[in-house]
Amino acid sequence: MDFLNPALLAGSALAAAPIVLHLVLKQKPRQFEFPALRFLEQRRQVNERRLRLRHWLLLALRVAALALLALALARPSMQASHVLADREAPVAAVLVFDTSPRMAYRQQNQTRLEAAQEFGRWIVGQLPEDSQVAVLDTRYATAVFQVDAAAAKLRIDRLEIASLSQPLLQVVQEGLRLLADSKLARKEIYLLTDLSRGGWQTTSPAALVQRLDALGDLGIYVIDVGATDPRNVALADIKLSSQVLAANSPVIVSSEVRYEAPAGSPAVDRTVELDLPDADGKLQRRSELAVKLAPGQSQRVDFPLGGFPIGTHQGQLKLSGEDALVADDARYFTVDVQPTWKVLIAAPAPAGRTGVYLAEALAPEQWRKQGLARFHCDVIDWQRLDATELAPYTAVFLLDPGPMTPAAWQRLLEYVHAGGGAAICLGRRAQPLEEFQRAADPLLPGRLEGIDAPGDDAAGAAGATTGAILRTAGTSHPLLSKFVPLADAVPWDAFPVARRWRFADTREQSAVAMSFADGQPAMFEQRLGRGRLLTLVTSLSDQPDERPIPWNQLLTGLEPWPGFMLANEMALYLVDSTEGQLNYAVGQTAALRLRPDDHVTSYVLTTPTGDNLKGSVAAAAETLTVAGNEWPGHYQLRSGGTEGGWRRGYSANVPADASRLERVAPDEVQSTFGKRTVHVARSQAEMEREISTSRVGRELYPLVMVVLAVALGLEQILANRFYRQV
Amino acid sequence: MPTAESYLRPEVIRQISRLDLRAQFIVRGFLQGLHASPFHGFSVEFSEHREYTAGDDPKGIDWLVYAKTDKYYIKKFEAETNITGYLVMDLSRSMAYTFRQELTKFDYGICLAAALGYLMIHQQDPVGLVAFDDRIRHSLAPASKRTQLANILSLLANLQPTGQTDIAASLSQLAAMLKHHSLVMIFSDLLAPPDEVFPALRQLRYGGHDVILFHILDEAEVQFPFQGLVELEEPETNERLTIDANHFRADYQRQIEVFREEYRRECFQRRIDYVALDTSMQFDKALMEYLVNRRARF
Repeated sequence: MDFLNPALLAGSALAAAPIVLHLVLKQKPRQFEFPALRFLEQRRQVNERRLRLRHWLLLALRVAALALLALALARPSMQASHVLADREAPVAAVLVFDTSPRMAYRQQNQTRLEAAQEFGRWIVGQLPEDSQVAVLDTRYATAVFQVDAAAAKLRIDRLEIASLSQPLLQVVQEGLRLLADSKLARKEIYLLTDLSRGGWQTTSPAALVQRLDALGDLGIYVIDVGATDPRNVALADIKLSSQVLAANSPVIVSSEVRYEAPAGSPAVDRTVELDLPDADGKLQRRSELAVKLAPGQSQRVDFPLGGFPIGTHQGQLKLSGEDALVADDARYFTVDVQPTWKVLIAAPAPAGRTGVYLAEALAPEQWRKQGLARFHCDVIDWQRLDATELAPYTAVFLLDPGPMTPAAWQRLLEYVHAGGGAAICLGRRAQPLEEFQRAADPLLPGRLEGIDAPGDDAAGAAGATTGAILRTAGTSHPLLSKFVPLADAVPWDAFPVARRWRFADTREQSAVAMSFADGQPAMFEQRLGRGRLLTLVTSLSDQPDERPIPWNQLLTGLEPWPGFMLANEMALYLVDSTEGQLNYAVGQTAALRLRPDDHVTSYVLTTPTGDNLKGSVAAAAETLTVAGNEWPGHYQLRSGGTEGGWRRGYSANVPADASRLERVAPDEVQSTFGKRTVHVARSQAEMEREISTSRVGRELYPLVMVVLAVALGLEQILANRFYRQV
Repeated sequence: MPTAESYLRPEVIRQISRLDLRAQFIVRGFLQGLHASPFHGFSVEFSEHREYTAGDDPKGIDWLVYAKTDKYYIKKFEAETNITGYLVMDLSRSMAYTFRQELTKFDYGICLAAALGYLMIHQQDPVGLVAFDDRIRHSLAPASKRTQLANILSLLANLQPTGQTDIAASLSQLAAMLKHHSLVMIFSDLLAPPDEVFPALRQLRYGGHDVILFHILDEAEVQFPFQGLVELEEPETNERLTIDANHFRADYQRQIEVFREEYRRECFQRRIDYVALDTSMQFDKALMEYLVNRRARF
């Protein structure tokens, strides 16, 4: 038995009142003188028994009346399905609508959502009077009961496809939580979904099972509005070779075209278009690729692009032709093209010879000649660092520094604090140790302890290249993200490090960005002010013929592509390119790093739906964050007027997995809800049948009221007869 | 102005405070009613003549006297012979009971006794008065003088029903007291065990007396008008009883009927006139009973 207002049960304590009145304030009979009493004597005993019985009966009726009144006000209800089934008892019903992009699948000129809406309206219409109805969708899981059935229908009418979608079963949990709060005995939850795998978690979350267990009687209905044999050509997630690139650098836009259809369906021909904005900002077709796909097949498409002018560029990939599900027929991308980054390489004398390896690694001569180089490198002697203006440079490499003047160290420190990126590659010239430590201390990640010579441990021939091996496989630092897909394929063992500095007492703010295979740190990262500082424990400027031994041959060895790649990634990291994410999944919060010279305080965000939203940035903020990107497409940020001014942008896409139409098997649906019986229906007739077999429960309020009325009536009759006036 | 017959109604009589007037009105009302009834001239005979005056019933003119005297004379009735009567009043506390706060049983009895006394004195029958509770408290020797009526009324008016009652003992005492054959008229509610009262009544009868037993009960004692839960108190013994009156009424009425029936049967067997009265009944029933009884004796 459940109660709608259990607190009112406390009112049954009032039932004690008649007992108290009976015991304490016993009603006095009216007194009369009567001489002929002797004629009553004979019946006296019988009378007294009857009187007592009457009293107790009256008392019992009064107590019962009060207790019944309290009980009735508490609105009791029976749960048991087998007791008194009544289809017209009110129901607490939660309708969960799947509004994921898959529901836009069009069949018989009706999207799946429209079919679900029609079904939903019908269900609400079928609910008994005084039922509670909540309409939940996968966009916002705000679980509240609607005011009435009309409001519920209006809510259903207003449902729309949302690119940003929560897992269906998570919303179901919200619905169950709401049902648990309802005082109505009969509870029902309706899932209106296309039953495609994209929205269905196969493993039942523990929380869901827990919620189900907590609920008593519950009817679970799954209304399958999905297409039985879905056919869909989809573009998979877009991949960019780089999101932030220097002027003139090339970029490759890749994706995959997938064809989902029942086996035996004919192959389809499609064209993938790449659109880019023209001078007026309108998207124009720049390239296209034809694909032919059999059911279940997929095909990769690559579009190499280059020659972007400086600025933010937003384009899209689009599938041409008719498709039942259009949500996954377009993918959006944004690239940010920045001016060629100026890099200062401060190398030991003779700088022309020691700094050239790194300079070549960052800006190969061939690219420089073609104008494709990302970096423009200036090489100077670090002795001249205190006299060099650092502000024009986006990154500074300090190679094998020696005892520089404190002014030079201070200048580098200020440069980093102001937002610049610097890398210190320690080598043999960091001597004498104490003096060097004292001067460079604010920039070093810890206390220099000494030089390791792992190369000497290996008893190799003189001049042989042995030593500690760098490791990039299984690392998580963003600087090394390009190495991650390569895993163990990077031949670091061909480039051992013979000498390396060892640090002790590392600072708290310093993090290990890269390690050796033996676990020793190879590179530290520190964030100082607005800038970044990398410290490599080995040199990047040693000649191949350095005496007594070159510390490493990372840039000077045979085919030193790992070293080149590492140097480039370090440079890109320092110029803030690797972290510059411009392409997001819908719902993700976009975070755009602000450059020191951006000076943005407020901006206008133009969303894919054409809305212009104003936003502001805190002073001295390093990143600009935009949350709630729920529509796929291009987002544009601007500040400082329509002409000139500050322009940025980013893109959001629906994850490819969200549009997988492969259907879930009925067994899987049942297993998701554990022991609970799930009623699956595809039509209203099926639904009616399912409901009629499972609706249960009954409110006892009317019954209690009838009993109460009878008790009150009897009490009245008895009391009237008892205490009637003469 | 109420008609003479209306004085037979207790509710009218109670508005008159003087007992002599009460008795006079009751008797007049009775006689007035009697003239217009089949009982006219039933057992009384005229005793004197008086001159006819306007307003007298012409039926009453004695034509024989007219033939002799050439004047109109009206007959006045009187009994042929005389009978000694005793008015016996019960003074028990229970006689003071009235439910409707109108005439108590005692008042009713007093009125009746006074009326009978008036009637008897006017027929020159000697009449005496005896009042008892647990024994005889007052007695007035019978006489037929006009002044006797004043004595009777004066004594009756001063009686107070306050005592415990012992009907049987009192009646036995009375039986021993009476020398001549008399008409004993007992006014009592008889709320005592009948088995004790019956021997006393028989004793009176064995003494050769005629007995009229006026059994006076309150209207409430006959009807039992109570409703719901009531607590009843016996005035003489102060015994209390709480009952649900609704369930007792029928039973009580049956008990009362049985009680009266018992007396009726006993009295019938002993040739005693038993008159069951209650305080709501007109007085003529009792007076008629007396006349019927008197006629039967001659």
